[in-house]
Amino acid sequence: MSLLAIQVTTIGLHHYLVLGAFLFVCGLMTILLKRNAIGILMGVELVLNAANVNLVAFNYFSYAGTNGAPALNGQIFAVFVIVLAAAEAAVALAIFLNFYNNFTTIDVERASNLKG
Amino acid sequence: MDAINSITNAHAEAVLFYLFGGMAALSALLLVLSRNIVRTAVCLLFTLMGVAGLYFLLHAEFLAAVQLVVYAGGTLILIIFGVMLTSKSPFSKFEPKPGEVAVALTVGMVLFGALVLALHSFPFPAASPDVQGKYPLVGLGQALLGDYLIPFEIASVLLLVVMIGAAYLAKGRRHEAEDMKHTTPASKTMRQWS
Amino acid sequence: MPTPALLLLIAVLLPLVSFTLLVFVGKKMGNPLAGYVGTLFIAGSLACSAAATFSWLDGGKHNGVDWGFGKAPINLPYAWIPVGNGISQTHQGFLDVGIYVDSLTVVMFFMITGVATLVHIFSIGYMHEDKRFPRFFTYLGLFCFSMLGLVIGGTTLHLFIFWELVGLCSYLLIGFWYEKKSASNAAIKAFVTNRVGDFGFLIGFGILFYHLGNVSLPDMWRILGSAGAGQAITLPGGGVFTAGLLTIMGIGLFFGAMGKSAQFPLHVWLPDAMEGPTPVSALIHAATMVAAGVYLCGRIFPVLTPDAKLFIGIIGCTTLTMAALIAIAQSDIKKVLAYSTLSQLGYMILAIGVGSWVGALFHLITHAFFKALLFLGSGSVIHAAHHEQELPQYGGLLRKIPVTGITFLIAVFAIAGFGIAGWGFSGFYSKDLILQHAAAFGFLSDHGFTGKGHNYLWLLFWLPAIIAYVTPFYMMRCWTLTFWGKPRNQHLYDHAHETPVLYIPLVVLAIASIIGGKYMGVREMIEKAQIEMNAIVGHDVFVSAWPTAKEGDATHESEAAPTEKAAAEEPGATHGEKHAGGGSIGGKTAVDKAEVPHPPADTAEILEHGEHQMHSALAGGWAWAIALGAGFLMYMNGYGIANALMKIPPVRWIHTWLYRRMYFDELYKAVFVGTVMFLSSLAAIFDRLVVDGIVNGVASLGRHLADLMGANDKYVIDGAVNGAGSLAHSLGRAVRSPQTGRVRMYVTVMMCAIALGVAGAIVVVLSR
Repeated sequence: MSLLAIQVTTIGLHHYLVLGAFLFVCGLMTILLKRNAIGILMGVELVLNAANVNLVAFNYFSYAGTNGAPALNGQIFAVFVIVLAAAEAAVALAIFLNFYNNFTTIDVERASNLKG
Repeated sequence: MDAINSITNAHAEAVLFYLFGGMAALSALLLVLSRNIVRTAVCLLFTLMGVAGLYFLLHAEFLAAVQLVVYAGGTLILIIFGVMLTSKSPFSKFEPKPGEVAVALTVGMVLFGALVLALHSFPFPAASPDVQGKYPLVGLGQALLGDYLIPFEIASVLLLVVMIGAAYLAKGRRHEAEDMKHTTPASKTMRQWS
Repeated sequence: MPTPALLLLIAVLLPLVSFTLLVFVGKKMGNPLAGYVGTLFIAGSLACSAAATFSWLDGGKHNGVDWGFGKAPINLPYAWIPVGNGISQTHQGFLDVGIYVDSLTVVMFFMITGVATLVHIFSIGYMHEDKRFPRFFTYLGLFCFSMLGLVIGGTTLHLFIFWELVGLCSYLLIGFWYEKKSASNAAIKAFVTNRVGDFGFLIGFGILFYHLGNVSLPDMWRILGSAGAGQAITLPGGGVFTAGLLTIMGIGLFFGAMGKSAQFPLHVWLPDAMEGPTPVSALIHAATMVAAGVYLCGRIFPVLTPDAKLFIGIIGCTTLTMAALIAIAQSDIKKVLAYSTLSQLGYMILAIGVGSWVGALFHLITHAFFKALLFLGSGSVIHAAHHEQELPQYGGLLRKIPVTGITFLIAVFAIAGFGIAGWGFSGFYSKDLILQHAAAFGFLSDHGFTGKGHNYLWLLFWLPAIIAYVTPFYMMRCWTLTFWGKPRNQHLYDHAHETPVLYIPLVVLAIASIIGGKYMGVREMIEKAQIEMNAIVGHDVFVSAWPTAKEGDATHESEAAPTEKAAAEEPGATHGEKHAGGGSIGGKTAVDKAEVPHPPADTAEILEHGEHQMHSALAGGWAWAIALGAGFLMYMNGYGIANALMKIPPVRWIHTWLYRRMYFDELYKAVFVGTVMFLSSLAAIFDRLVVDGIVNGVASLGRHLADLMGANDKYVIDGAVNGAGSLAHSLGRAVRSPQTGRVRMYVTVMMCAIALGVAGAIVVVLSR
């Protein structure tokens, strides 16, 4: 008939979790593979985002409210995560700028003074 | 008519999910694979936007807005500023070694596999029927200033500290050298008078 | 102390004083005073001996015992070394030395001091140019002391001590001209050969002392005197002295005599001893020292078993034959005389072997006289010929040195046994006595002696009889080649001259050689000595070595020496008590129980037979004339006939064999010296390979151990230490390697760990 008759699987929690896992793994691989410090920062942001997705998904798919109001814990958590992510990005960039001023490169491989 | 009526919420949800989710996932993938830092930043933008879309789907409108405003509009801009300041050329390439690639790939695969496995094995409950996707903003505000007051305050102090710290860190050392030069004649003058 | 003993003791000690004096001040005395001093002392000994002889003839009493000529002897033992068990009847448990004087002692003293004095006088002239003149007389004095001490000895030990001293003096005097290698070698040869004989002597001495417990002569005679029967003897203290052991003892003691008197096979030293000065040859190697062996045999005669006596006889016979044959071919005048001495000593030893005690000792005395004369005469010849000793260089010297020549001729006649119708020079009497007894011995052995084949025993008569022809031949050869005919070396002949100072001894000895046989009473003295010995032994041990009558024959118990035709002085009364010097135990009774040998009943008849046999063998007493004539005729024109004879090969071969002294020296050298050298080379190889090998091996083992220790120290210990260090180092480096300082790597590792951890946890949880 028409494609509208196709039965669609209801989007459930695990869809979001799988997506969150995927984002997390991508962020992880970015951290591992990027030599540019900013790139690594981006990877970190990606990871945090994945965590946020998880949090919000869990918040939506579970009901633990009081007084008839739905639970908001997940979202609050996610808000704070975003705040901290921003703060962290600011500090990280300040450090990266200092690093760039000292070494004239943003390659983290240059930061090997801890070599034993 | 029927076709349009038969578009259920599920359909819409699915389409939107796959749209935003796909955008986020694809951007994340491209983010990993791209060698150009600017392109990576752009991909991050699209990922963030995709995630914001997902938030909308999950009825977390405020969070989506915060995401877009703070994350995509603040943090990402910051990152892009950082990219601009630290890259000698937008096309500077840093190639990871194949070994590293292999290791990262393996780690990624393993972790992803494990997580998916875990997810599929765990019976998650279905969506609560009573919630119709209404999360009143009032509740959020009340929670922030109520149950979560202390984290809220600490977060603000944190932001202050971060601001100061970042400002100090990014200041650089050239000014210190000039200060040193200035102090030298004064010490000389002082020695003359004593 | 009885007078004769005292006098003889003084006679012994005077040369010792001379020796001591000359040792200290001899060099200062110099030439010729040292000679006069030495001569003076020995002349003093001669005087004492003469006085002792007269005293002895007079007789006397000591400790209640009559001593004297034909009576008991004087025995004065002195207990010297205390030892364990002693069965001595005079001194329990002591090794005695002491004085023993009997007729034999007296006559020996007289002979020795007489000849020694004459030799001293001769030496003053002969050694006149020698640079060590005083030392010569020093040594002579020591020698005279030793020899006289030997003769006066009353115990075997005493005899042996002086025996050794005499050997030492012989060594010193033979090697007097020690600058000559041949002289010092000869001295060593003499001493070593003597020592070989002394080894046998010590075996016999040891057996004697072990069984008897003491060594004094009279005790030995009394206890073992019946050895002549050839049976075992029971000792007074218990225990049995078997005949075999007795024989061994006898032969052992005889070995000493073999060495000293140069019997075969220990004769090799005497010809070489001619390297010494001629007076030394005259005194020691003619008259006295070599006679000491015969004297010893005489003293131990009673304890000799028949087997021992047979051995002695065979040795003596061999010696006399061999030496006489060699003497024919010698060209050095002193060597001729040396071999002649060997031959005559063989006669004496043979006499002992056949039982002729008197004959042996009588010949000893007479031989001393004419042999000393021969040697001193040869010394005069050598002196005249300016120290040329080879006969081929002589010839016709009678015109130049007549006194020497005539005295030499007298001596030659004496040694030949010159005698006409029962009267002769000294050699006649003594040599004929020996031959008579040898013939008697031959008859006795025919007389039913059990078991053994006895025909060969007649050789003990026939060989000496044949040699009785040879002796005058080679002596006459010697004299003729020296004094007769044309001079073979004109230069030597022209310069030959006589030294008057050398006359006196020659003349005196010539007189003694002539009258010594019959008129000096020597034979009587010796026969009396035999009686004295019989007295102590308790029975007659003489005349026959092979008794045929056994015990129980009472008529024979008191029979004296058959040569003594007069009635016997009685040994019967002398059963062990007539023994000066101390108490006696009833040793006689124990001896009586054994088989007591007696001469056979028809002894006198046998001796007559012997005499006849001897006469016929010696061509009715003309053997000397035949041989002397042959010698004279062959050599009166020098070497002409001899050289002609030498062209015949067998003659030449025999002559070479004899001239080279039957190759004895070469044989001994190959056998003894060769063996010793071989053994020593074996020992050297052993020492070098085994001992040194062990030592070196131990050392190298030590070194290897040290190397091991060093390696251990270097590799193990240092290795451990260094290894610990390097282990720490590599551990550090290993630990350091992850600290790359690269943040991305840290992160990667962290992520890996987390991923693995999470995945693992998930898997674990899910699998439940």
